[in-house]
Amino acid sequence: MKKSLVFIISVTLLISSFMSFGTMANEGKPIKIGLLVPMTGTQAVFGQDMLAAAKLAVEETNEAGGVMGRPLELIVEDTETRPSPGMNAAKKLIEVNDVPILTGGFSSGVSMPIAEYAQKQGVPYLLAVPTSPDFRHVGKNILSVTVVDTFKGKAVADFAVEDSGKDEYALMFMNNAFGQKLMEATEDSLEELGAEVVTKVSYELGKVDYKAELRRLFKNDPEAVIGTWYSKEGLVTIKQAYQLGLVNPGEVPWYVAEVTTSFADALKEVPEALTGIKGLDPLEPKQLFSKKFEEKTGDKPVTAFAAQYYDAVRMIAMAMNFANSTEPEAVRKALFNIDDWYRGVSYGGDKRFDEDGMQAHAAFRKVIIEDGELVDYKVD
Amino acid sequence: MPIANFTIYLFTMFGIYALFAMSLNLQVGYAGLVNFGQVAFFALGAYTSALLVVKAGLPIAVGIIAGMLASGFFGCLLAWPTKSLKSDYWAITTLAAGEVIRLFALNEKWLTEGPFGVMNIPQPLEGLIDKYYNIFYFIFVLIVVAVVYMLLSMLTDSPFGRNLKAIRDAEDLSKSLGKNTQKIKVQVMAIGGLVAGLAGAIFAHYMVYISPENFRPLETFLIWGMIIVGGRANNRGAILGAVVIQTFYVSTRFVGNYVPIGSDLMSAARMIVIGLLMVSFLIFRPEGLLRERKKTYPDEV
Repeated sequence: MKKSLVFIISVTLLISSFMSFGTMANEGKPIKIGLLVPMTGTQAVFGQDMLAAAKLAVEETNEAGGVMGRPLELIVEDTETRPSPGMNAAKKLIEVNDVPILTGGFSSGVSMPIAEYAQKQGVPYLLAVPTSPDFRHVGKNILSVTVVDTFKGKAVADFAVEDSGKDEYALMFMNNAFGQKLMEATEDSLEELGAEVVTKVSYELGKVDYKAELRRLFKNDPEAVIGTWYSKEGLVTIKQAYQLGLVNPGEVPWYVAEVTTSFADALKEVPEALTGIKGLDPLEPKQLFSKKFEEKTGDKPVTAFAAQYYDAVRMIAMAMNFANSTEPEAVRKALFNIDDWYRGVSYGGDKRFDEDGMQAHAAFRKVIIEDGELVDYKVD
Repeated sequence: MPIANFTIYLFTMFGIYALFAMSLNLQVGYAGLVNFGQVAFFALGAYTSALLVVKAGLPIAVGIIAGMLASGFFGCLLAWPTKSLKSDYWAITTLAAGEVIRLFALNEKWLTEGPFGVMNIPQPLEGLIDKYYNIFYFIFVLIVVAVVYMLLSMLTDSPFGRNLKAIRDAEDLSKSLGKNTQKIKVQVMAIGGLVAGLAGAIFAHYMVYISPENFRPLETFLIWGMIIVGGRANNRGAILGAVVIQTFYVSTRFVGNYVPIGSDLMSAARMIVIGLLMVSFLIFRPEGLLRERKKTYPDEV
C-alpha cells in the first residue's frame, strides 16, 4: 500500500512538472501553429508524408523571412487516427499551447468533433485533408484547403462518362465518411449525366481479402468501374481482381476518383497486364511540389495529401503576414483573400474560399497508370 | 485559465474511464468473466442516448437511462446463450459481440448515420451554465462516479459479491453448494452493461459527437490495462488504474517540451510505454497497485 502511494504521488508530480514546462515554453519567440497529424493508427502511412510536407512549408516560410519577422514553428500532435486521442491533441494545442490556429487532420470522423470544439473556442481550424460536406455547417471558424467530396464525385463521373461513353457503372468505395460521401456524390453525378449505377460496394479498410466485395462489384455486369482506394487496400483489391480475371481495362475500364502515387506504385507488384487504369490526381500539373519534396526528403510524396498540408501551412503563414497579427479572427479574415497572393500546389492551385470557408474551385490532373507511374492522360 | 480547462477535461475523462473500468472490473475482477468486448456496452449506451436525444427529441436524462437499460439488456442477451461457455470461449464471443455493435453502427446508416457519426449531441443544462460548463460537467461525472462506486462496493461486499468471487475461484464448488452460477453470470453481465452504458452515454453528451471510430476494440484493451495496473477485484483499483493509464497516455504529449524527441517518435513511444507498463505489472505486481481486499473470518462460525 505504501509503495503504491509513493508511486501515485511521483506520477502526479511528474505530470504537473510537464504541464508547467508546457506553459513556460509558450513564452518563447517563435509564432506557433497547431498541426494535427495521424502519426500512428490506421492512417499512419500518410502521416510521415504529410508531416514532412508541413515541415517543408515551415522551412520555406522561415527562409522567406518568417511571420512578421519571427520564425514560424509547428506544434505537432498525433491524432492516432482515433477520435478520443484526436480530441486530446486538439485540446492540448488550444488550451495548453494556446495556438491561434489549427490545421492538419485526416479522417472526417476524427476531425468533426475537433471542428465543433474549435468553433466553440473561437480558434480557426484550416482543414488540410478531411472532405466531408458537413464541415460547411459547423461554423465560421472551420475552413478547408481541399474540395469537398461532392466536387470530387462530379469530377470523376464527368471523366468516366466522357472518356468511356459507358452507361452502366459499378462503384466501390471505402466504408468511412470520406468514401461514403464520395460514393453518394459520384452516383448523383452519374445519374445526372444519364448513366446508371448497377452496383454499389462499400468495403472495410484494413482487410486482407476483398474477393467477396469484388464478386459483388461485378455481379450485374457493369460496363465500367469507379472507386477509390488507399494504397494498401488498393493493392489487395487489384491483385485479387486480377486473380479473379476481373481486370481488363480495355473491356471494362476502371476509374479511380483520387489516384495517388502510392496506389500507382503498389500496382508495380501486379503484372503489366494491369496498366491502363485511369484516375484523377489532385496534384498541380507542373509537379513543382513533387520535385521540391523529393529534393528535400529523397522520396516522392506518397499522396497528394502532403501537398494539401503544405498549402495549409503556407496559407496560414501568409495570412498572418498579411493581417500583421496572429489574432485568430484577423488570421481567419485574411485567409479569405489568400488567393490574391498564393498559388497552391493541390487541386489546381486556386485557393479561393467560398462564403462558408470551403474551397470554391478545383482542377484535377487526368492520369493513366503505366508501369506503376502516373502518366498524363487526355480524353480524345 | 487555459491550463485549468485542460486539466478539468482530463479529470472528466478520468471519471468516464473510471466508470468504464469499474464495469469491466465487476465482470473480470470479481466474476472472472473474460470480457474482450466491453466497448460494445459503452458504444450501445452512447448511441442509444445520442440517437434518442438527437433524433427522437427526448430529454437527456431519458436518453442516458435508456442507454443504460439498452446496454444492460444487451448484457443479458449476450450472456444468456453463452453462460455455460468456458472463459476462453467467452472471451471470443464477447470480442465478436463488440465488433458486431460497431459494425452495426457503421453500416445501418438510416439509424446511426454510419461513418458520418451522430453530430450536435445536446449537453445537459447547456444553455443555463455557460462559462463554467466544464466544471459543471466534471462535478456531474464526479458525482456519478461516487454513486456508482458506492453501489458497486455495496454489491461486491454483499453475499452476491462473494458468489461472484466463488464463481471466479471455483465454479464447481459454488455449483455444488446449490448456487445458480449461470443465472449469476447473466446478472453480472447485465449490471456491468448498465454501468458501461452509463459511461458511454455520459461520454457521448460530453464529446457532442460520436462515430463508430470511437468504439474500436483497442478501447477495450485500454480498459483492461487500467484494471491490470489498478488492481483486479478492487473498485478503487479500477478508478486508480483509469487515472494512471490516462495520465501516462496524455503525459507523453508533454514530454516533447522538455526532452528533445520528435513528435513522430513520441507518438510511437506512447503505445510502447503503455505496453511496457502493462507487461511489467503482470510480471512484477500481478495483483495491481491496489490488491484485492481479502476478508478474514473468525474461525468460529
